[in-house]
Amino acid sequence: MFLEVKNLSKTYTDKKFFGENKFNALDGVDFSMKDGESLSVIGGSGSGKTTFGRIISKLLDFDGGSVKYYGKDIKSYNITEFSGIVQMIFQNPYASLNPKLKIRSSLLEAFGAGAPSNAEDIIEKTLESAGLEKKILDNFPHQFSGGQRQRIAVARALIKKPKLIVADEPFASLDVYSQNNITEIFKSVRKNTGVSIILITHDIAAAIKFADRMIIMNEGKIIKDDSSENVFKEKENAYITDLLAAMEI
Amino acid sequence: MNKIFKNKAAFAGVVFIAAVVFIAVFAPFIAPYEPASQDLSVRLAAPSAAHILGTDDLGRDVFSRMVYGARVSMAVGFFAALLTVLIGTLLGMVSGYFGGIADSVIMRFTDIMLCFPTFFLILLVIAFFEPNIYNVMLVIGLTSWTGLARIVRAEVLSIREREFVLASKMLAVSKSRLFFIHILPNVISPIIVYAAIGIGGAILTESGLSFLGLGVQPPMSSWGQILMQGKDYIYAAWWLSLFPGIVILFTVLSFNLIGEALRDILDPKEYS
Ligand SMILES: Nc1ncnc2c1ncn2[C@@H]1O[C@H](COP(=O)(O)OP(=O)(O)O)[C@@H](O)[C@H]1O
Ligand SMILES: [Mg+2]
Repeated sequence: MFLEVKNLSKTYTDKKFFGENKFNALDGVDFSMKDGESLSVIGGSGSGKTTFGRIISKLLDFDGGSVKYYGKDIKSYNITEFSGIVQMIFQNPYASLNPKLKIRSSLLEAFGAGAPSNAEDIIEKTLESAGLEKKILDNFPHQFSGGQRQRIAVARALIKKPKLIVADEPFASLDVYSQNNITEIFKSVRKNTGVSIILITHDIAAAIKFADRMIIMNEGKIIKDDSSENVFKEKENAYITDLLAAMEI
Repeated sequence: MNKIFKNKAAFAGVVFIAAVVFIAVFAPFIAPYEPASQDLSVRLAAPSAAHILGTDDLGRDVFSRMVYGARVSMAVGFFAALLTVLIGTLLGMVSGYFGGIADSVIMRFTDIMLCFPTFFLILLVIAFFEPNIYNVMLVIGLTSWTGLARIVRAEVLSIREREFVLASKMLAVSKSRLFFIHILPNVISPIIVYAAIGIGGAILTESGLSFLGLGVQPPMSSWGQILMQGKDYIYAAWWLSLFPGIVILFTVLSFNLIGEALRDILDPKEYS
């Protein structure tokens, strides 16, 4: 199994003036995926999607359960090893690139300390697969639209040749055109490189367009893990019917 | 940089400071008299063609003394602010970036520093050590960094959670690169603003110390010192107090205006 998550739980603790507030953001999540598989994760805001995405991206510690890639605990991977396995795309493209660095410097970072002599070629090819031109390299982030910046972030992630890309609401702050554009890029990248993509979104239409397998989260739990077709047949679960209704499908 | 010229007040501030710096640098060519040379035949002379800002109780030319005083004020201002920025930035960055015990220790120390009224702390230190220009710079620098350390810490805490920092972490970028390439350049704006305002503050503190006789010592002159001498003759020789007072006022005001303008210029559109 590529990724195996067992009984995962995460509690946020907020310090208050007197005592503290505990909040169970994830509560016993079980989940697994095969090499090369892609899926979408949907759920209302606050259901724990980002927490889940960040934990499996090793950006966040968890309190209980286990996360394993290729049967090896996520905690025993070092960051260099892990960077070749998982990359993440974030919700806010406007904060995803260092405003003080030219795009070239931001992308070259993916090669680590010693960039190979063909780094420019690799970057160029990767830009192409993200629908970008080479000439953007000499510009700064503020010269680009949100959609362009998100594609640059995708290109940066692809340079690492990861096995999995976790995209956390990558087009939540973009217009419909850019949304489609990025969905298409994800699909073609998936086909061409075999990379797995987890698309986290609250947009059910985008989720359906993107993948067959769909995971629905609510209050820190996975309440449904099935093909999108079956999800629609689900009528007894009130949350899912509400979700579908709210998303105007 | 263009915007600083659009802001008229800040522009006036820049011109004024440039003039003061110019005068400080070329003091020997600008001052018509030796700042310490006494001419007892013209004690407390009113402004005239020979002494455009008058003379003091020892017959020294006030204009020449103020020209040399600009050196003291600027030097104290710049070096005290430099020290403030170095200490404040370093402690704030370490505190915000590493967190944990380092953060607790630094922040509690900052809290303790904040409990002392800074000016009295400075008075205390100067009373124990020799009051000279180096000690004045040092003690102002060593006591003024607390606000900056807190600002830098807060900035670092917010920047380190920014998506571009997380993305670089996922690319397995080295810690030093994260620190110096991703975090430091993005907290630099408030540091620059603080430095500009800090220079004005240091000049004011130096003037205050000199006024109390704890600043730079004669025969060196500083604006605060001339002001102090003037207070004994305020009815007989108003020029002794008025001119240094005005220059201190405009210098500090200029640095504050520049600082405010920099805040406006550097802050917005950072992440858009
Ligand atoms: N750093 C945090 N501290 C405290 N609570 C948090 C933190 N991050 C998220 N939460 C809470 O955890 C819950 C799940 O958040 P999140 O994973 O961001 O959900 P989603 O991405 O589905 O909107 C929310 O109720 C949120 O308020
Ligand atoms: Mg979220």
